[in-house]
Amino acid sequence: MSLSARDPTLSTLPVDPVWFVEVVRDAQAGNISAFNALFQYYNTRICTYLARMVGNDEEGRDLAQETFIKVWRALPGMHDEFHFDTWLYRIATNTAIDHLRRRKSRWPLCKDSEMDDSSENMSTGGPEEQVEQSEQIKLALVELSPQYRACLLLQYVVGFTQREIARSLNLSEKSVSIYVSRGCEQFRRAYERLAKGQDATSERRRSVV
Amino acid sequence: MKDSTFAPCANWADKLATRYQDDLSYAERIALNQHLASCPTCAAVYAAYRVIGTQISDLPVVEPLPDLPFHLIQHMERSVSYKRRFEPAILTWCKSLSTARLHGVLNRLVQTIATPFHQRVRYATTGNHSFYALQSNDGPLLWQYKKSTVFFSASSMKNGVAFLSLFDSQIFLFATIMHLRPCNNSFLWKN
Repeated sequence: MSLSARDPTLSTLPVDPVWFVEVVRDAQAGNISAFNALFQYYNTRICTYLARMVGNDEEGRDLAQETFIKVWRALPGMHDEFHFDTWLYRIATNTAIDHLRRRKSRWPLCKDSEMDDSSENMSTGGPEEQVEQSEQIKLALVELSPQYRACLLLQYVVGFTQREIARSLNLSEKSVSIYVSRGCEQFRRAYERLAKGQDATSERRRSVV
Repeated sequence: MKDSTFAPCANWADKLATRYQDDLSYAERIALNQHLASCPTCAAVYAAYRVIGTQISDLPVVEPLPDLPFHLIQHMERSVSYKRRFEPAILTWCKSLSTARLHGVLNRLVQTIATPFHQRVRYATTGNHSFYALQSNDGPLLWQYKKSTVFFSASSMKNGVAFLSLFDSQIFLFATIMHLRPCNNSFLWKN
């Protein structure tokens, strides 16, 4: 994603980096069309990232809008056009973490309640195994600490290298490396536990029938 | 994914979840591959983490809201960086170079090349990783060439083409001469 961390043969980049930097500069200068171009380019990615961060698609959509508004307001103070994407994802990550904190303080005893509900719904079965698997993956992600989750999502969904993740989250590369591997391990255990739980539920249902 | 008793070797645990080439140095990649060939536990963890990566990256995208209220956004108060707004473009370039300088000790020596090619273009290299082509205050930065694994040595100019000799920082064997020149706000290069 970053203009700098990839091999500058540039064939892997989706846009011309020179054009891209110009667009960022124009947006910084207050050009709303340039900002709209950035918005169109990143909207789906940021929305998907945030939805996975908070474990809820609808909240992800709202947070994406909130993120872009923050970006518009903060753009004049951004000093490194070449790393716009890591800066953008830093704002998105902070927005998600703030949201998770607010959610926790509003419903302190109801941790990820909507996720628990969807887990119950998921176990009602149906032929859509792929959908169920996607739900399990989302649930396993939600069980991770936000820091680990951000690192995993930035690596696997956004496509950042560990250096870019470090820049985006203001962490050392060593810390990112540890967070990603620990996040993977936590995810593996959570996913395994959810899969076992679902197997047991299905077994019970079969025996009732 | 079914075995819950994974316990990778402590020295390698943090490297098993790396995904991209840039995440490990060349030497680390070679060493990791050798270790995976000889350690079934780490190889299993590595394989499991690859599956996890695929599972997460294959999750469906979330359809966003289509638009922002741009008519409102346009009138929002923005954080204004007066310093940035009024400083000449050349200072912005120097700041970029200063940021780049933080990336490594070798970057302390930022070399600016007086170019005979184009009066308004200045070239600069930070020694390792970055080579910049700059334009004077009335024009934008033309381009930046950056590669994390190579060191650029001092450059020379001939007929508007920058000749850079470079070598790979990880294997110290690969060395080549690269030619770069500005072209329609982009650049051409070849080894």
